Amino acid sequence: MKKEGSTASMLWLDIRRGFCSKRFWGIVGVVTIVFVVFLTLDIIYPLQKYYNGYGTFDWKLDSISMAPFAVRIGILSMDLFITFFPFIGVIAYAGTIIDERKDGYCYQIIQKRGFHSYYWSHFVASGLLGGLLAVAILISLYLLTDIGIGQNPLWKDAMQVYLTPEFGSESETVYFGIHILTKSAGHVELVLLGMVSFFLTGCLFGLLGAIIAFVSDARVLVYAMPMIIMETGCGGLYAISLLFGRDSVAANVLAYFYNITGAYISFGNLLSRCIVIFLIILMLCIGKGMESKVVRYYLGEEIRQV
Amino acid sequence: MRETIGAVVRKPVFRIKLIAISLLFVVSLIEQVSNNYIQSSGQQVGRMTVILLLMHTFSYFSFYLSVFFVGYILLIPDIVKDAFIERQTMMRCQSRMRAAKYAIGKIIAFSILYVIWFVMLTILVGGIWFHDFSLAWPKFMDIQQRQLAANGLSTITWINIPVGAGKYPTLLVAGLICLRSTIGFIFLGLLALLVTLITGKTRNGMGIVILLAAIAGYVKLYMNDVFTYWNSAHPIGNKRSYIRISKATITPLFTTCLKSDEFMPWMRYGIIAGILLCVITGAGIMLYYRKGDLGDEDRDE
Repeated sequence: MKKEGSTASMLWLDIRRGFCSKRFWGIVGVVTIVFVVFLTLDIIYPLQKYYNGYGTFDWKLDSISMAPFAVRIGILSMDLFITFFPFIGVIAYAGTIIDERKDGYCYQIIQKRGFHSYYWSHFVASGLLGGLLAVAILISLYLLTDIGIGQNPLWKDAMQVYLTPEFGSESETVYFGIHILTKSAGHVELVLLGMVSFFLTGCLFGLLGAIIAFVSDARVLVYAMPMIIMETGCGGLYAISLLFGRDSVAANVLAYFYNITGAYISFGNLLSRCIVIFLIILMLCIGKGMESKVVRYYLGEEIRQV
Repeated sequence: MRETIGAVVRKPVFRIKLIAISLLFVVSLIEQVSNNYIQSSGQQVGRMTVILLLMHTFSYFSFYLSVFFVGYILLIPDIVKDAFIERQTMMRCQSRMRAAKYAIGKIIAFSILYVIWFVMLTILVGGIWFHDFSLAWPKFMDIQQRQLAANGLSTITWINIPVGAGKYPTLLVAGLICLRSTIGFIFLGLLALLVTLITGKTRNGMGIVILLAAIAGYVKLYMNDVFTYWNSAHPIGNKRSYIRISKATITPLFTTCLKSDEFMPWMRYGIIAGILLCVITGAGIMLYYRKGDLGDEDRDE
């Protein structure tokens, strides 16, 4: 049982607040709508081609000159997805930290429960909700690609044709169904492992967002900073690895860190998950170290008055 | 104007954002200059030069997507709308029209400074890396230009310089590329201001820029600049048809659409379209200033 007013009970309250918020489900909805548009644009041509020209000379000619024109890059490998993934982690809850400070709501909670409870419940909730939002988006994309497209009865006959070996190997065929999401995942087990990767990565960006939200009032900065830090960090580590030489041991070790996007591009692997866990622990340590500074930032005025 | 710019630049949050985006730009540039293709192309038939790096950087759409647009979007809340500065400006200008011109001038000044800042960073990184400030076209660029002209899209290009650019002096090409980008950024800034004024929310101004950038990125990188459809009315053997939709996105305001596109016609199109869009958006801002509510706090909160 969680003690009333403890950090754990506040954390549970924060998670429920975040999970039931309009913002959380709004982001899931917006991402899904964006990908519905992308996928619709991608499947128009193969469907038109099948229904207007199946079996004709043009059908054969078009299939020879180019593998059926459709999604060649899985959603998870798209630059847009990779670039904007850090936003997903941050947007889940980190913005609430700024909102509460700006409207003064946080001071009521701090007065009632103490700063320590407030700080850690919000910090951890931001991480957990970032992870949950990333998983919710993955489930939404899974349902969209597998049920919405892969098993859609409206174009079942066209899909059966495109999924035959006539259209070559998996790497060059039309990606209907779950293959749209990622080329390498055709099995539920992999998707489940992908959820673990997504949860961990979302959690990492959520924690990073919370760290910035506790010390900055600029909302835009909070939302954009994790992406900039990730890109700059990866680029910086790459630049450092060049100093050691491309084939050196140090460069190879650094490569695991600057290729962190691998944790969500193709559902990651055990090593990428371990690195993300290491970074999450690092964020928690930074959070712990920052606590005394954040207290001064929040309660500086009150302390001075006392 | 100088005081306003100074006031914005002195804001700590503006400086933090600029430092963050500059760091991102520098590491991305180091990734580019350390790229095997650029280095090997330079070693074989001529050296990579600073001015070439400048042209490459400002003609590479992925760079815009991952650095320039991100930075500009980050700075929009600081350069586009500030209720306090707006009220001060209104009081000083004592006329709505003068205030509107002042607001437009502020965005133009910031956009120019934004491009100049990254040009300087490129020159700095390129200078340290290549030590070559020569203004002549290197030999490998001639080879690439010939291959592009002959083979079109199937050519593997090392550096993003459009076909036909080699016919003009490097300084002119670099200048035109930077001018086009500046006009593009001015348009984005003015559009963000207009949307912010109309809706009363800065986030909508940022949202419109994000939306335009995302559409342009998707069309360029994933649809290969064209919308493909099956046209049954076309003769046999030619049913696959294309509509070139990239011209309707913001891509031509910053780069060419395909690598086989000719330099000068696209440059002309980009600059003229950019100026027209700026004039239309500027007129919209003037009209709003004439009638709308000014100096209000942002309704984001």
